Amino acid sequence: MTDRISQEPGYVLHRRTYRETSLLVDLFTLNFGRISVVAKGANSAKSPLKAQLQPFQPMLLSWQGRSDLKTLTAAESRLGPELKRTQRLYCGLYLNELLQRLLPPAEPNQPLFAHYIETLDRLSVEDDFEPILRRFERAFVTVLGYGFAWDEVMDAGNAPVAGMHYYYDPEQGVLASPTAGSLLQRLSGEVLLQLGDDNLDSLPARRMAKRVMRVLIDHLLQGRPLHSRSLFTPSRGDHHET
Amino acid sequence: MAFSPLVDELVESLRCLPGVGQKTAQRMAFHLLERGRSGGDRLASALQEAMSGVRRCTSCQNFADTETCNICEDDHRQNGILCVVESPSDLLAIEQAGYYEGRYFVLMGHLSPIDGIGPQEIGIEQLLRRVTQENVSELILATNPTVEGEATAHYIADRLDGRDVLITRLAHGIPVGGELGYVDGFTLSHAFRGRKPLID
Repeated sequence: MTDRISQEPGYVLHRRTYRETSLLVDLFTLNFGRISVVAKGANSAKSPLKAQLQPFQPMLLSWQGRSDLKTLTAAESRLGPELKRTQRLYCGLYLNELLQRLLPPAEPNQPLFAHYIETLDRLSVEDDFEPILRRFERAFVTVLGYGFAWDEVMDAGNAPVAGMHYYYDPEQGVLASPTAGSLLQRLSGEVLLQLGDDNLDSLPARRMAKRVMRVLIDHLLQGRPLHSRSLFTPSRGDHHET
Repeated sequence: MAFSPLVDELVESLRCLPGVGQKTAQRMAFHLLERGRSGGDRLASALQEAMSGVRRCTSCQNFADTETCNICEDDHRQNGILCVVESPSDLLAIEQAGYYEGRYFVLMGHLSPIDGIGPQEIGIEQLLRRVTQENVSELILATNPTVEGEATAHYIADRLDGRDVLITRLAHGIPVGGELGYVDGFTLSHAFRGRKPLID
């Protein structure tokens, strides 16, 4: 492996203090996927890196080292999308938690990286967050090998029929008859067809997409919790839940 | 390298301190044993007492020896203003600056989903209860200017939406005596957005 990488586009997913004055930073990068670097001295009062190494800011990062834990040598950032209002910030934290918990380390995926940038940009300007999150989740699970077509019934080999009900199995996709692994039932054929057209306008479509994605992500997490969900408290009467 | 079990145990125990590795722990242990026996005794009893005696203030969550801490007990402090900070060291910094005379709430952390810290872990419900019970008129959100600190501030503000409380956030800007040339772009753009009329 190369020892020295320079000017790699990437984002900070998470950072925590490391020893007295350093930060341990988890990055999501274009050509190296999710990696961890040590930013030496970045946690000292005078270091400009502390302000720069913030999530959601597009950066050009340089690092060196052969081991799993590399040393950050330079970071340049430009002002990126600002996730100012509450819900936008939560959505951003949710994306980062997904990547941090489920994306295997050091597996680059350029389309997912592009999707991440686009999702952040859209979250910063658009007000309807739910479809944006759902599309990111779909792109994400596809990268993990759990992609499926809404409008294809796997065991029957045809498209769903309006008026019929279907099952969902995270390992197989949409099914006409239940299996040992099917976790959802009574999915309306009509709504599946809407989702197949990438149409997330109606409330039933949003509900189903959310339920299915939630079941799938929980399946992938294997019992580990996703803490950013607790930020979206339903008590405030909005529907931008993850 | 093995010394006597007692020395080994001392070295190992000292390593639980932040920034103390094997070498430093050895140096500390030998120093205490060779030249600092009285200091060592004092440290031992202070540690013992602090570990069993220090608890969290039931009102502000800060460390305290008693049920409620000194600041919460102090009658001279202004009621109705509550400053929310992330850690006891933040509280200390504000106290040392000497400007603020209201009361505090110490979160002992910030919202950080990746670290598994949610609203429950930092005592948000207790904070909300206090805001209601003490009739707080201004809540100053002095969490750090990081993404997690912002998220925490926004979360608290969001939970208090619709209540008659003025919610303020500390300004971000250029340090006093600093030079613009050395300030990073983020701070500078925050400072620009937060600019004020010179004479008000």
